[in-house]
Amino acid sequence: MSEGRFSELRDGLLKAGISRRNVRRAVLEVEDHFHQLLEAASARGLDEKSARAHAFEALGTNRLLIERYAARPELRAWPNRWPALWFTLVPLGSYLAVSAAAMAVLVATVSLMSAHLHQTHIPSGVTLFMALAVRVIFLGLLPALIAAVFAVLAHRRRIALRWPVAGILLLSALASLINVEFTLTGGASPGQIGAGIGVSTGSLLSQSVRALMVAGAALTPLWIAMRRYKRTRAALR
Amino acid sequence: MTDNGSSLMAGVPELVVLRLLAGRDMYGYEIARAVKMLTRDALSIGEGVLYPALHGMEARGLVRPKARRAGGRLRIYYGLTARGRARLARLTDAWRRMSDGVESILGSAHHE
Repeated sequence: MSEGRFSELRDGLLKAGISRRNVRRAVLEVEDHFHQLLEAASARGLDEKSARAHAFEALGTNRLLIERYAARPELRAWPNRWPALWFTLVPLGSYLAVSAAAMAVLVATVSLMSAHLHQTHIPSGVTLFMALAVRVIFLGLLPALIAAVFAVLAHRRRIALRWPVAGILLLSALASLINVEFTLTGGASPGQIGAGIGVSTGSLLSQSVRALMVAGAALTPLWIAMRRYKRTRAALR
Repeated sequence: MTDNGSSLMAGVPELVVLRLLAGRDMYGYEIARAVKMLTRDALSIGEGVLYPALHGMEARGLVRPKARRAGGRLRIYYGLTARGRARLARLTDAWRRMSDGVESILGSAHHE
């Protein structure tokens, strides 16, 4: 019975945005306090049921405790303190950083293989496939994955929906404005990689379609997580 | 101003906890017992809500937690930091000035 109460306290504090470190400490200390109240009540001759009731009464309700923690912004986790920053700008920065790092790895790999590539004939089908794969990964999978991870994280921390949704839309828009070209060839010029960002009136439609596809892919895990949460809550009622 | 004295009492729990910790390191249950005993139940600090207050003081650098094993359980003891001592001195001074002021008013009203 008491385990259920402390588990509820842990969930409530996490939902209130309290940092995991403070949640662990709070549950540990409140539980220890409860056991000492219980021992003191038993030593005074109360039976177990009355001792438990007395200990719970002395501690106060979980709701009161959670309210007191929630009223202290300094105890909240960073993402809960600055949700606008964490779920809109940090995903954008993460996407740019991961893309730059992945491109550096790609360039380094091609450079290492250049001696081998000079003597190799690469069929045009492979070149086309590589070019498409790099575009799909950099402009589709990577932004969708990063946006989805941040959106699910926001949902777990019970952040207002507007921030992860704004983050997904911003990241999708940015990814649609970026162009990545990768050409892997053998012989004299073993490969080229290039990236650029810009808006072209001629490609507004295709850029919008790309943005929508990325946004849709990133919103799906968030939608699944929200549905699951609603079902679990309904089952508990 | 509320009639239950809550605004008057704001800051008092922090003063009391800091004063107790100035004597020695203590853990939550000990602090709650000491407050009850020393004030003869005149000052009620909700036992559970002591922890958000302690964690808040820690976040502000006033107290420092130390984990120790006690009877097989991990227990968090709190000690005062230098910043906590300075805060205690300020709060004590403010409380004494307010208390003296109120006392002199109550005293003069009593003699009228």
